[in-house]
Formats: sequence, structure tokens, C-alpha cells
Amino acid sequence: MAESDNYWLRRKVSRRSALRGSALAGMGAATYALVGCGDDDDDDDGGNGGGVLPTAQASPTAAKTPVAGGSFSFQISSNPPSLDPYTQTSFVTAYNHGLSYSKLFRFKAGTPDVAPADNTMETDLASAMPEQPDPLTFIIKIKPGAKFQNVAPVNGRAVTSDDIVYALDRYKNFEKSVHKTSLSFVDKLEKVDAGTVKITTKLPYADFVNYLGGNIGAWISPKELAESPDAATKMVGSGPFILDEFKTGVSLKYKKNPDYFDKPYPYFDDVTAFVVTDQAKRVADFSSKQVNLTWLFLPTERDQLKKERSDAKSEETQGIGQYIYLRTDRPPFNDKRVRQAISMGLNRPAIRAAISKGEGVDEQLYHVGFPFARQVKDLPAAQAKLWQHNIAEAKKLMAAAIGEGKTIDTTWDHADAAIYTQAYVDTATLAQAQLKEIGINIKDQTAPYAQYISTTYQGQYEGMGHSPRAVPYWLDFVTERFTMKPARGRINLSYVNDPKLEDLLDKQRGQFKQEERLQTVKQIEELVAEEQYEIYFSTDTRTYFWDKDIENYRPTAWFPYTHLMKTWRGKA
Amino acid sequence: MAQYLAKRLLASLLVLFVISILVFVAVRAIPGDVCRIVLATPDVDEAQCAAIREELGLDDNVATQYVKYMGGVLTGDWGKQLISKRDVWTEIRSRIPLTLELTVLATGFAILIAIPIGVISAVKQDTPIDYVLRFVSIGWLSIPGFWLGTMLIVFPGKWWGYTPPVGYVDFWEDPLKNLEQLYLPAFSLGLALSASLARVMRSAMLEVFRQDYIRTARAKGLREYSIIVHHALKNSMIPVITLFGLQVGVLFGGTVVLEGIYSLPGLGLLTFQAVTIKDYPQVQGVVLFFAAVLVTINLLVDLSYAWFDPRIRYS
Amino acid sequence: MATQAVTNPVPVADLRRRPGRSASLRRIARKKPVGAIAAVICLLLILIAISADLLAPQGANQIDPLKNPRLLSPSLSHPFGTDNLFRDVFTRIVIGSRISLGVGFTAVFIGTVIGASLGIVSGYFRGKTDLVVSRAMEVVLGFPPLVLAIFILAIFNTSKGYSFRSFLLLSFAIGVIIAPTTARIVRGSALSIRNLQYVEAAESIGNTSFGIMRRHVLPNVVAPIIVIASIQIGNAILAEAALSFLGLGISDAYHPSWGTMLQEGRPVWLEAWWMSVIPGAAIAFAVLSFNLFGDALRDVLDPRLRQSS
Repeated sequence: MAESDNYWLRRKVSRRSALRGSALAGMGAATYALVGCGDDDDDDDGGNGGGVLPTAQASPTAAKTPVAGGSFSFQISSNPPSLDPYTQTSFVTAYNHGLSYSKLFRFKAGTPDVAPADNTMETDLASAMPEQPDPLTFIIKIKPGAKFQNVAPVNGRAVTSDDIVYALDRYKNFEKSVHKTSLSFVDKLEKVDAGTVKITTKLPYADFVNYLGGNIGAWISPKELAESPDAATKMVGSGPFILDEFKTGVSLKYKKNPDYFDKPYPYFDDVTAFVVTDQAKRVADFSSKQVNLTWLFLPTERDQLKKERSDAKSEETQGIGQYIYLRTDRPPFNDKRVRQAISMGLNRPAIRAAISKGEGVDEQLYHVGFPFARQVKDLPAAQAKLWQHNIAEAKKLMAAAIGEGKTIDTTWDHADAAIYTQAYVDTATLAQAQLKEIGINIKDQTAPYAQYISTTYQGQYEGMGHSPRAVPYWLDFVTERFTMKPARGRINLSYVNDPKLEDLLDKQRGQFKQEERLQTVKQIEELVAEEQYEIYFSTDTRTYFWDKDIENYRPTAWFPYTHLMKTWRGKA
Repeated sequence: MAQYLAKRLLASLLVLFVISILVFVAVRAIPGDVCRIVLATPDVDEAQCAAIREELGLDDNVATQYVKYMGGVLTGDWGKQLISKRDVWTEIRSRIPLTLELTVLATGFAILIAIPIGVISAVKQDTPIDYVLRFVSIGWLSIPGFWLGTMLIVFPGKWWGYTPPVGYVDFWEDPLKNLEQLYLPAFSLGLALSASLARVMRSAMLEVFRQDYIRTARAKGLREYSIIVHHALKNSMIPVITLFGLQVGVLFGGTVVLEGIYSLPGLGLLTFQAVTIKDYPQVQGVVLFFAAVLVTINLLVDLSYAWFDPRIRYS
Repeated sequence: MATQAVTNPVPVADLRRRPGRSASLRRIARKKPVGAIAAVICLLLILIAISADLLAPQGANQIDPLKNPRLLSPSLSHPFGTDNLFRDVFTRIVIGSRISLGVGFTAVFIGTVIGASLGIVSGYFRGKTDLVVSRAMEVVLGFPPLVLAIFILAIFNTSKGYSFRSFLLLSFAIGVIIAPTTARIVRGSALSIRNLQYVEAAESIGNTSFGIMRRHVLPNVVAPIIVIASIQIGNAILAEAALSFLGLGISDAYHPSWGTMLQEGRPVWLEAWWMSVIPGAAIAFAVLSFNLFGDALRDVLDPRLRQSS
């Protein structure tokens, strides 16, 4: 299928810095399953796969001329705990990092011609995609005019290769860095000259550009700030907007960086991110036209907002899915049949009906949202059927695994609704009730978020648990989920230890040839589907809303909001 | 009087001392590994943890830690937040005005509602008006503030597209906008207080009406209005103040919920967020601060009796 | 003490020697019709909470898309509608009363036992004991009540989901914030008993302090204890609801509480009014009934208490 190759095709194009354009991105968009059709509320989720983008924003608006000036505001759902990129992985922080900091590369997404989950990269501080004299060496040149913002402590000095080496080294080696393992592919960081960096990797690493263009462990924050006491409360980078004021728990106010290296951006004079923790208040604030952009609303809230703000633009995106992890290293979940039974015992459509009005992409594997990612229906039939609600079959598997008429008593750990939202907790409630029917009796164990993250999410749990899964922007992300080499992967919560899988993971990591890597990914998908190491729920739909006169904006699954620099407010 | 004052002050200090020990010890029992909380990632190693524990001074014994901590508190160093490294005291101080304003506004609402109800109820004792007013105020006492507060966001937004302005501004920056942001939570917070106040007002007034000096005033032919305002109201202030002293704490507690719902960056929200992310230096600081305020208010309440009722003698 | 003017010794109403109890009940009911109705409602609420499992038409967590389609508005078959997870809201309100009222009562019980014991002891012994108890109560009053409960729960509640331990802990956290009020009022009453001659007589013939407190002081402070406890039930229910709303409660899918139901239903408040109105109204209704009952009880048993609570 053509769609399978799209991602790679676009990668290639992008790396050659040629032929960028809406035509290809449009194809990418078409294969990315956006669900729900425009304004109507019908329950038809036939948008799965192959559907054409429903909303008008999809058509490129290149004809319009940008207007500089004006102000813009959006909402974030919690207060960034710390702004220091070296010691944080918080997504709320990442939204904001994107406004003030730059990286070597950045997501192309965020403008109308790129689909929300399209992870194509473009250059940011780098002047071009890296040159690769051999599979282990990457040479990157910095854009000649790149400089930091004209604010203390850097006062507008140039961004040099020293800054790049410093930042990446700090991510990799600083004692309190939380990005050490992710950057373990890096072997040596060398300055060639003031404008050139040479990075050597330990192994051929096909995700090099995607990792360094992503939202964690890649921001170039200058030494002067990183080692000052203000690191957690200030941002001074080379990005399009200057952080003017950070009122804890209230807002982050930005003003235009007039010296931004990437002309003609940015367009807005000032941008404000309001911290609004209460979901009802976020809806109300946009209804009463107090913010220009708001996001991630489930269908119920979406319909409400559409009624109240019929003037606003909106787009539905595929929401974040959730998955069950379980102790595959000990009974009873070390038996594949039990895991398969669990998957067949889940009534995914019923969960979707309860939470997102039946909308969402019902069946996906671990690569949520990627254009190339296969949906379950494209898997071999023997595996695809594991996603179908089939109590009889599930009971048969259970009987074969643990004996006729026997049941399993286990626990299910998860966080409360404070950070992960009520839909997350509701999913557990529904799933537990469904699994009871196939003889799995679950004790629900809710913990406060902080406790969950510091215990269960570290692998300290007994039976089962569930978590949301982020949309990974680099393919090798799966390694962290499934590896035991050299130690349990960062989020290998299922304690997967499968040599066959490890071999495949090792293989794909070094495959620079797209078609080849994709073949390996397919094998991984099928293996994971068969084994049900993680059991996936459907994704829901999440809608973004923005003012009608906002131009050149589009939702994206990626957290940095650098692309706001390309957005402007048309004269209505 | 001076002796009483000194004794009372000393007692308050003692109470604060005990509170500080309790809080300090309790906070150290928060479950969960501190370094995992600080790093907020599954990706930690022992060296990182050791460095963090050392930085936080967690390797000393508890007594040493306490002495160090209290030394810091007295000299203005309340420690740093776990994750953002903000100064705990600066953070508390910057949030005082908002919570103070919210409590004052709530009390204002409560008084505005309670005085007329209390007075009318007392004057019209045991008439249908009295019964209705008493029933109404007991009704208010029964409405959860957080429920009212949330409904006041959700439904005006749904019906009329109205919400208070987003992004908190300081009173001095833009008084009108500030008040528009605060009146809904203040009302939700003050309603229950108004009910208790009205009840206390009513019975206190009734009590006062029975006193000799009121009878004297009536006998002198003073107008009823004048009697109520000049004599009865002032003299019924003591139970009202007592109640207020007890209710300030309740108001502070209410701010935890309402500031959260309305995204108001006050002490209540600070408390709740600190508890949520287990930022224990901040939890410790803010709880200690609340305690200091309440103990001081209770002291002032005690002393104010003298002003309102000269008959009280301090022994 | 300086605050004598406020905590006046309360005249004693001795419950033991009142003749014709049922007759006097009828008389009270005629005099206080609202209170009497409230009393009946409170009794009903308690009965509902006790027999919740029998009364509830379904299981608390019976997820049944066929029987309970998503978000049905109230009707004959679902008097309070259904929620977004295919459950019957009436069922959950009925079963939710177990935690909402159960915690309320247990908290008041704990608070009353602690508060009354301390009040009696400090009123009886006076002097140093009184001073220590008073300071201890000031320590508790030094915390904003809800903040103290949050603090206790955040630190000590390690249960994930409902457990008997967490039920007791939550009740204790609320009980602690209730205790000082009880202690203050009981102390006042105990002080006045202490000064009576028969207590001195009992002392002089060699009765132990504990014996005197149990046989002479306690029976004489029962009235204020009952009154103050009944008045505090409403507050305890509200505190439980607020804590549950904040996510610090103890309920889970099988053990709902009204405060948690309000919080959990928030995503669909706009879509389904009954998800916001009904749990809130249940809380307000229960609290109102107990408040009215407590109010009437106070007028009957101990009118002078009106001032100090």
C-alpha cells in the first residue's frame, strides 16, 4: 500500500531539502486517520484509514498574505513545574520550551499543509539536514545568523557549536539530567569549527534527526542560564518568543523576539499561555472568547463548544490511547493465552461509546497515529481477531490456560484523574467490569498521581495497570517499551523479555533504508500483537478550537509550540 | 492586662512550636521516594538520588534537620521547592494578597447577608419571617461551597457565555477586573459563613435585648433603630467575633477548593498543588504559615473581647 | 480563663429523670414540627445507608449498556437517570450514602469521643490538665480544618481505593477537626458540675476521679454532647464531600460517595444536568436534614447552647 511508504518518502524528501510541498503532506494527511466528520454528531466512525481529511483547514491557505502584529493566547492545563529542559520531561513545559528555545531540527507540523501526527522534521538551528559521511557520523552546520535572544545573561550573542556541544553533553552527562538513557546512542560530541558540530553515534542510529528535533532532551539552553539559579523559572534561548513574565499558576507571557534568526517569523507581537487547571473553566474561557486557542476536548465538550462558538475553527485529532501493562514475567500473565483472553474480553466499542461518543480509532498498535502505522484490521487475521470482543473465545483461552471454571484474582494500579483526566479513570472502571465476565476479578487500586509516577510507573506493581501512551515521534521509542538489554527499558512496564523481539529492535534501529526498516517494524507489530505484551485500548478524538481570524495554524500531536511563530491574525 | 498579654503571647508561641514539630515530623512520613518525586521520571539511578538527598539535607538526623529548618524559617529562609527550586517563602508571600482578598470579600458577602437577616430575625422573633429566614440560612449552610462554585462557572457559561476574565490580575493592577475574577468564588465561600453568622447574630441580639441596659434604653424612650444600632449590635459582637475566629480557618480551607476551581493562584491552590506533587518543603511551609496566621488571629480574637465588652477583666 | 464570657457554664439538663418519654416526644413534635420532620428524614437516611445494598435496584458498579444506556435523563425506570459509564445514578446515590453518611457519623463519633473525654477531663481536673488540654486543642485549631484533613490524608492514606483502614483514617481526619468544638463546650458544662456540692461529697467519701467523672459528670453533660454531635454531623458530611471532590476521598467504583460522584461526573455536566444536580442535591439535602434536626434538638435539650456553636 502506498500509505505504508509515505512517512519514509517524506522523510527522504525532507532530508534532501527538496520538493517540500503540500502535495506529499496532503497524502500523509489522508492516511492519518482523523475521525468524525465535520459538524455532524453521527456515530459513524468510518473515517478510519483512507478517509479524506474532513475539515476545511486541510486545504493549504498559501494564498493569504501574513499580517504581522497582534496578540495571541492559549491555555495549558497545568502549571509547568520547572522550565529547566535538562531536568524535565513534562509535556506542559515542552509546549513552552518551543516558544523560547530552538533545537537543531523541529517538527514541520503546525501549519495547514501538515497533518497533526506527521513527524516530518525541518531544520531549526541547523542550516541543513546532517551530512553523513558514514553510518556513525553526523555533521551539522548551524545557520549563520543564529543568535540568542537579546536578554541577560546572553544578551544576543551568537549560537555557536560550543552551545550545541554543551547542551547535548549536559543532557547526556549532567548528574541530574533525566535524558541520559535516551541519548545513550551518542558516543562523541565534537566542535569542528564555530559553526559546525560533528556527532558520532555508538551504533548506526536511524532516528538521529527525529530525536534531536523532538521535544525532550534536545533544547539548546545556554550555559549561562543552565547553570544559574534561575534555570527552573526562566527561559532564554534562541527561539521566536522571549519569555517576559512567568506568573506561577497564572500565565506565561511572551513577546516577539525581534532578532529571531528565522525571518520573517514570528508574526505575533505577544503570546500568552494561561494556566487553567479546571476543564470546565477551560471550556468556559473559550466560550466567552477570552482565549484564542484551546485544545484536547472530548466529543461532549466539543459539541458544546461548537454550539457556543459556531464562529470558531476547529479540528478533531486522534486522541491519546491507553494501554494495559501486566506482569508478563510471572503467572498468570506469563501465559500468552491469558493476555489474549484479556484483549478479547475487552469491549472496546462500549468504552468508546461511554467516553467519546463512540468516536475514535478503535484498533491500533503501539505506533498510535503515525501515517504508516498499521491498524489492526491490516494485521494477519489470526492476530486481528484478538481485538474483537469475543467472550466465548476468551473464556476458552482462559480455561486452557488456568483450568476450566477457574478465575484469576489480581490488582489493577492506576493514577487518579488529577493529571490524566477522568476519561482515563473511567476506562479502567469499564474495562475491569468487562474482564470480570471472563473470570478475571480485579481489585482497583487508584493512587494519587505523584505516588503513581514514583511507584507503579517505575514498575512497582503486582498484577496489572494502565497508562496513557504518548505519540512517539521517533520510531526507536518502542525499544524503551520492550527491551531488557542491558536493563529493563524505561517504560517496559510489562517486563517483556523476549530475545526474538530484542533482535528485531536491534535490527530496526540501524536501518537507514526506509523500506527495510518498515519491514522490521511490521514484524515487531505482528509479534507484539500475537503476544499481547501490552493490551491496547482504542484512541478517542480530541478537538482543537481556535479563533476564526487566526491563519496558518493547525493542531499537532507534538508538544512544542514553536510553530505558533508561523501563525498570524488576519484582518477579519 | 500586660501580664495577661504576655502569658497569652507565650502560650501562642508554645502552640506554634508544637505545630511546627508536628508538621515537620509528619511531612517526613510522606510515602514515596523523594528523588523520584524530584526527577519525575522512571529513569533514575542511585547516584542521582544520593546527590538529591544530600542537597536536601536528608542524611542528617531529624532533630538536626529540624533545628536547621527552624533556624532558616526564623531568618527568612524557608527552603526551596522540590522541583521548580523556587523559594518557598517568596512563593507564599506572593500569594498572600489574593487569599487575603478572597477571604475578606467572602467575609464581606457573609456580613452583608447575615446582619440584616440576623437583626430582622431577632427583632421579629418567633414570627413567620423569623422562621423563614432561619430556614433559609440553615439551607445555605447545607450547600457545599465547591458545588456552588463549580455550578457558577459551568451554567452561566453554558446559558449566557459568561465567565469571569481569564488570567488573574492583581487588585492594584486592575481593580475592576480583579473583582470580577473574585466575586463568584468569594460568594461561594461566604455563603455558608453568612448562615452561621446570621444564626449567631440572631441569638446574640436576643440575648442583648434581655439585658438591663437595653431595657433602660427603651425606658429612656430611645428609638428602636437607635437601640439596635448603638447598643444591641455592638454588644452582640463578641459571639460574632468568636465565631469569626473559628471560621477563618474554615475560610482558608475553602480557598483550597475554590482557588483550584477558579484557577486563582493563592495560598489554597499552592497548598493543593504542593500536596498533589508531594512538594514537601512547600507543603510544610504553607501549612506552617496558615498555622501562624490562625494562631495570631485566635490571639487577637481573645484580646478583642476587652474592646467589645469592658466588663471582661483579665486575671 | 479570659474567655469565660463566651463559654459560660451551661445549665444542666439531666436526661435520666425525665418521665413519660413518648409523651414528651409527642409534645416536642407538636412544638417543633420542622425539627420533627427533619428527625424522621434523618432516621430514614440512616436506614437507607444501613440497608443500601437491599434498597439499591442494581449493584454500585453494575455497568450494563443494555439496561442503563448512557446518560438517560431521569425517568420512571431510572429516577435519577444514568451516568456516562452505563450505571444507574439512583443506585449509586443510595449506595453512596454509605460512605457519605457513614464517614460523617464515624467522624462525629470519633470527634465526640475525643472531644468529650478531653472536655470532661479538663473541666474536672482544671488547673494544669486544663491548660495542657486547652493548648492541645489550640494546636488543632491552628490548622485550617480542611487543610489539616488534607495533610493527614496525603501523608497517611496509602490505601489505593476503598479499604476499611482508609475509611477509619478519613473519619479520623475529619473527627480531629471536629473535636476541639466538642471539647470546648463539654469542658464548660463539666466545669459547672465540678463546682456542685455532690461532686465534692463524692470526692470526700473517697471515690476515684475516674469513678466520679463516669458516674456524676458524664451523665450530666450528655445533653450538650448529643446536641453538639448532632449539629456536627452536617459539617462532617460536607467535609467528606469536599475531600472526595478534591480526589482525597476513599471511594472507588464499587464504593461511591456523593462528593466523588460530583467530581467524576464533571466531564458530562454540560451534557447531563442531573449529573451535577443530583449528587449535589443529595449532599445538601442530607446536610440540611441533619442541621434542622440538630437545631431543633438543641432548642429542646439545651437552649443556651445556641449561642456558642
